[in-house]
Amino acid sequence: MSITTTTTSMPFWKEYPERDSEWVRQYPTKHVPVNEEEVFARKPMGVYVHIPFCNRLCFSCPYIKHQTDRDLTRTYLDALKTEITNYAGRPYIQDHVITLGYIGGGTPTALTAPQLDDLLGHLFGSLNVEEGADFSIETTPVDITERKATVLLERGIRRISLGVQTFVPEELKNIGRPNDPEMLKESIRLLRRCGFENINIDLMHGINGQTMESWEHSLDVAIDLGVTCISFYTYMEFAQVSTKRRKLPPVPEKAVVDDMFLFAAEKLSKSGFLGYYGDCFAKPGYQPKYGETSWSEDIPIIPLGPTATGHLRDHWYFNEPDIGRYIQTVTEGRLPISMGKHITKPEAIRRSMVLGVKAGRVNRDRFRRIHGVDFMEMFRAEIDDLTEKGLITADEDGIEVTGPKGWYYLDNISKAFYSPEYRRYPQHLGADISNFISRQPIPLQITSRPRSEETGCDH
Amino acid sequence: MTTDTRLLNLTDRVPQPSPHDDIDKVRFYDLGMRRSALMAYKRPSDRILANVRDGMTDLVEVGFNTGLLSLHVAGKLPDLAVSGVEENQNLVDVAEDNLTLAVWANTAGDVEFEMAKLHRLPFPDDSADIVFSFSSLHRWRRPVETLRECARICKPDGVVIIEDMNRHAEEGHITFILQFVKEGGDEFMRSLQAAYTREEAAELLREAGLTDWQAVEEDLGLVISSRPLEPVST
Ligand code: SF4
Repeated sequence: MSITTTTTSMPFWKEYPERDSEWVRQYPTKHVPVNEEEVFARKPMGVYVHIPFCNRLCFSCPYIKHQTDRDLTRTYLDALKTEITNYAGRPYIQDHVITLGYIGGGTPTALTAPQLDDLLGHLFGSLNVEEGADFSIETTPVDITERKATVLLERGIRRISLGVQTFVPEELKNIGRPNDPEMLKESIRLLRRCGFENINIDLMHGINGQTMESWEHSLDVAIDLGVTCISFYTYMEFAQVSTKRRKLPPVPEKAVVDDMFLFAAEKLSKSGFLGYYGDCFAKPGYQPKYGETSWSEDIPIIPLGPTATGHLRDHWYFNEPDIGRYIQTVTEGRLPISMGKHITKPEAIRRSMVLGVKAGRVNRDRFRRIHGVDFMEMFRAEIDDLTEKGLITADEDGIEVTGPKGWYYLDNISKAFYSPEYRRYPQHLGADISNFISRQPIPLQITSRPRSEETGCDH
Repeated sequence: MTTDTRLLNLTDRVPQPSPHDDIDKVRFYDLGMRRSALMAYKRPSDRILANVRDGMTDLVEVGFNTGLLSLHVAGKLPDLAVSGVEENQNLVDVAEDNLTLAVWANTAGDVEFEMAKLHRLPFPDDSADIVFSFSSLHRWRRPVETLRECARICKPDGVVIIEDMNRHAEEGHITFILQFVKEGGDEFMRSLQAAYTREEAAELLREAGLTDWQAVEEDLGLVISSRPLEPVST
């Protein structure tokens, strides 16, 4: 980087070989008004809590989860509270205020109402949680009860997400769920009666026996129910050993599954939903802050519970996946951090791109404020390429993923910003491979973009 | 820019010390394989079936582990005889259990398992139409001699198909598999550490004097064959 000056008459600024006589003692040197509030402001932070229990284990679910069991659940909750206490005592955490949170799993509401009350009480009581923080929780229509819903609301959970999957009885049966659509609808009415305003439902496309008509039916029911967010996922059929499952109608052809995606994206957009992450849609103002801001604004996240992933102190990392080892580590007073990666400055910039585009757009000013660089310049080649392919549009303010085509290809777009070193390595699902890591240190990658090495970032 | 630095500790081959030395561990391994069998065995089974021709009578599996692939293939080919050889008593015992269950469930197929040294196969010269092996090569104590044995027992117009993992498969692929095998990860990685690379397999073939055979890399695996094979879709 070269420094150029437009004037040579400044008394304190001499350029080599002339000797400068100003005794440098501070930096940066461009002074603006600052007050006490700013200096001592607490930075925002998020929290992710993982509850690895389900009351009924679904076919085709790749997550690490356990059948809810009274003793294991109790021991687990004690460990989780200990982990929260451990984090809460650290100065770094105390310097932050929790503005977002997500409680996922598993099925967090597989816990009983008193257990949820106790856990949330401990969480909110130990960490500096901002009044009105944006907290979401996952549930299922089967697990949610009026009592649990009331506890969640009283403890400050604002958004609730139900795994509905489909409103077609036959399809529910095919994926091994209780198959009464009325019961699913009733659970949503119950949540509304209790006072939840922001309700998300998850739907699935590509399940056995599903057709475009039945998919439209599920979407219509969801829209008619007046929920504020709808997300949909592609069903993954794993090899089925069960003879009963082998007799199921086949899953739709890939081309049909793709059409279902585009159909849903268009239908939901037309019904007043705004898209984010490609397959999530929310009525204006109801998009959860959790993913959106934590990703695009690079907000640190405390991960709690086995396999939980977080992002603290220039590292992304995930917790010990094995629940027994998790409990043991936490009980011994240590944090159950298992594997992850140090994020260098150039990689922090890439990370913001990789995760930022998943929210649908990357704002140039915000990016510059966070990382001190112009991503439009830095990733010109990638942006030009994506623009040419019709996947994004770019203007003075930043880039925007084009819907629905770009939403469909959202992960391809995101991966365009991976650094070469990380290309073709998978996302983690909870496997601890630390025993197999080569002991030779991996040399630091020197990227071909020296500008990013020189620039600072202030997170 | 790509990097040659490997994340995983797979540079040098680490032969597995006395694998399958405990019947309970073998049962656990078998259970895991049975649960994922349809996925793990799909490609090798398709490849064997694709090479079956009219008039064939005998198939031989060299190192059948717990017998699952032989049972699966034999069920699809009820008119052919499938004979498997393994040299570890625990594996033979568990395979026999699987065979009993298959018979009990009236599964079609003519299968026989026996214990023998892999480097001294108990079959006459030119007696098998297809000699196959899956996920066993990395455990062979005398791979060069066993390869020669495969060549010896295979009929002149038959084919030898040996599949195993490739220790130098793409790391992204390996770590991806590790996300799914969960508690089977240790077993998987130990097998991978004991597996050969394509260059090492080619060297074994050279030593065995089988210079006209093929060693091909395929996703996570390595396919050695006595003649070029048509690709099979997955
Ligand atoms: S409820 Fe959710 S987390 Fe639990 S098994 Fe079913 S899909 Fe998996």
